[in-house]
This record gives sequence, structure tokens and C-alpha cells, in this order.
Amino acid sequence: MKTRDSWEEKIKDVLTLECDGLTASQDLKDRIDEEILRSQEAGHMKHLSVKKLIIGVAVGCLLISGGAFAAGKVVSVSSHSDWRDGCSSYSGMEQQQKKLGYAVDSVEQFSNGYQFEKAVVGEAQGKDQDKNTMCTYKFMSIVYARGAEPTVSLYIEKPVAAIARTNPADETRICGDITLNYDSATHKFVPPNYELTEEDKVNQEKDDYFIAYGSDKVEIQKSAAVEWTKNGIRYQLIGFDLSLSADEMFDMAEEVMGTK
Amino acid sequence: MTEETLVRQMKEGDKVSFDLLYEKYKNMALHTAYLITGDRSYSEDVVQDTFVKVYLHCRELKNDSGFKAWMMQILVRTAYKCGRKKSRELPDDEAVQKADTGRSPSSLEQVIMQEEAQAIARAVRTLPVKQRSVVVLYYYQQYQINEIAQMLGCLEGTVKSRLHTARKQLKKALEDDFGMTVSGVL
Repeated sequence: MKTRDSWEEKIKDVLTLECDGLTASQDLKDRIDEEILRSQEAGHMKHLSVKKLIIGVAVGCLLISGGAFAAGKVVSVSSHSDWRDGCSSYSGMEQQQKKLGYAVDSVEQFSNGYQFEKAVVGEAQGKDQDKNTMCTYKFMSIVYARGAEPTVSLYIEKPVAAIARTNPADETRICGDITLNYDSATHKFVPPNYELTEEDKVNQEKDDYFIAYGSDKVEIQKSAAVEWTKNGIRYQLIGFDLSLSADEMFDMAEEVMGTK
Repeated sequence: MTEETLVRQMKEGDKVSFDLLYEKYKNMALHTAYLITGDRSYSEDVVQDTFVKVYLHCRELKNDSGFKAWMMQILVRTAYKCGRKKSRELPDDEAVQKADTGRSPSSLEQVIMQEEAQAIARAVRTLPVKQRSVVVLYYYQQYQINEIAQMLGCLEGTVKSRLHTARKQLKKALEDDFGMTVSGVL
């Protein structure tokens, strides 16, 4: 094996010296945070259907209604949570519900084997077109795991304004006076320099197709979500590349509701 | 808390975990971006773009333990694009200013060492961005050839070729422009 020449050995030291005193400023972090918020909003403001909105609220930390909120003022919702404030055993749910401020439906284990893994309460902010905070509310996120399979998450919140569903769900199940809505979507993950094909451009306009940049290779994943509202509380059960059918997810939703 | 846990929590929407990962890697990312672009302002832009992409696309990372490599891949590609756009050489006054900052040679040996360091630094800066990126990743970040190939999205042979060309150019620059005696077979 060829050994490095003496000048090569010095390169690391020289380059380290070049960076001497160069540190990331707080201003840079502020710019990053602002850009994250702006990018999330800009990416969604163009048009987001209710179906995308419902899936987006569960898998992302920010959603844009594009006018879907009945109140007509709140156009975006951003949220955050810290898992260090959460619980990793079901016995901690009581404390989490106290934080949330109201009792919720949940299970420790589903009959199909998915088990409670952790839960956390976070906070969301609804904002208007000018990014003014119009409202603040809490939500709960519960993660269920089954072996090495992808996790299923249950998101729970009391929406400050109703979302008017304008397009039909993929499938529905009526459970007493509650309607369970099942939506699925395709997520195509592509590298940063990926150029959209004509087919991609067509797909992108669909309600159930997302293209996300940043992956090291082109990959397609399917999300599946069931959402329902009970006693003014909205529940969303969602996961990626699940081996569960719509019926199985409906069954899980009913187990949460306590009707199965 | 392990990095893997932080990544998993970030993917679940936990902004605090993202902030902690940013704190861990911010300076390393900034240094790498600076060495590739050769410009402080550009390097901040690169770091900004990188971490925005990291947060917005973190769910696309399949292997949580591979966060650093994935983040570096985004950073290097972003810096690479940026480096291609800008002038490939820093103004001489900035190079001189940097070399002089906070260092006052007290002996002939120190002066010689400093001149040698300046010569190497300047030679690296004058490399084309493709070769400079490989030099930074190989010598500064100490990545393996296969890791660099993955980051740049090219074949290992391409990385070896760029490294070989870079060594040759560095050696020539050091010999021709700064009168350094450079030994070894390239």
C-alpha cells in the first residue's frame, strides 16, 4: 500500500487551520428555522386537497389547508413535540392525558399484535396567510409497534376549526353515528437533483400523490390512514408501507373507539 | 440519548431532536462546506440548504444509524453545486488575511512552516471543485474512497481518478509556484 508523502500528511492540519474560528452562528440557525417553515408552507400553499391535508397532519409537523378550514382564517398549522416529555409505557398515558387536558380513546395493544410503544403531547399553532398565530392547541401522538414492521401512529387532537371534506375517502365504514374514512397515498422519494418526468408532473396534481426530494435513490412508499371524529376529538391512525388492509385498519380504529 | 434515537424522533416530527442533531454537526458541516466552496457566505448558504433538506426529508432516510453519511451526502452535493457556480479561487487578500490572523511567527522555523501551510492551503483552493471536494472529504474528513463515491454519486474509480489528478496538481502547484520540494511518486 502506498504511503502518503509528507506534504499529504499536512493537508488535514492545514485544512483544519483554514477553518480555525469558523463557527455556525445563531443567525444561521434562525435562518434555517425560518426557511423550514417557509418551505413547508410554500410547498403546500399552491393547492392541497383535504385528502392530502388529512394525511399531512398525521405524518408531518405542518399542514396547510388551502382554505379547507371552515373558519376561513387559519391557513396553516405547525406543530412540535419533544419525546423526552412523553411516556414509554402505557401507565404513563394518564399523565399524558392530564397534559392534553382531556381523556382520549386508546388501547395498550391491538388484537393484531400492534403494541403501545410511546406517547407524547405536543402543541400546534394555527396561522393565517400572514403567518400570524390565530390559535394554539395541544395534540397527542401515540406510536404502536409490531416486531420489526413499520410503526402505526395514532394522532389525536381537538381541532379548533372543522375540516370540511370535499372529496370522498378511498373507503368508508359507518360505525354507529361515526364515519371512518380511509385514505391512501403514494410517496415518491427522489434524489435532490432529480428532474420530474412528464408522468411525475401529471401524478403530482393528484390528491393522493406526493413527490419528496432528498433521498439517495428513487423509492416509492404507500401511506395509509384512517381518520374519524368522536365527541369533538379527531383521531388519525396512520403508517407507511403497512401490511394492513383497509379493513384491518378500520378494525383497529374500532378497537380504539371501543366498539370492537 | 443516542443519535439513532434522535433521528427516529426527528422523523416523527420532533423539532427538538432536529435541533440537537444540528448542534452536533453544525460546525463540521460548515467547515466542510467552506473548504469545498472556498467562501464563508456560500458555506453558510450550503449549511442552511442542507439542514432544511434534512428536516423536510428526514422520513426518507431508511437507516437511522446512517444519518451522518446521509446528511453529508446532501451537504456535499449542495456544496458541489454551489462551488461550480462561484469563482474557484478566493481573493488573495482574504487568503493573506486568513494566514496572518492571530499568528505571529517567533522563529525562522515557524515562518517556513507557515509559508508551507499557506502554500498547501492555496494549492487546495485553486483545485477545480470536483477535485477539491474529493481532497476535502479524503484528507480532512478522512472518508474512505467508497464512502466518497456514495456521497458524490459516482464510481469509486472516478473518485480515485479525481484524487490522483488532485495530487498531481497539488504537487505541481507546490513545486512551481512556491518552490517547495515535493517528494514521492504519484
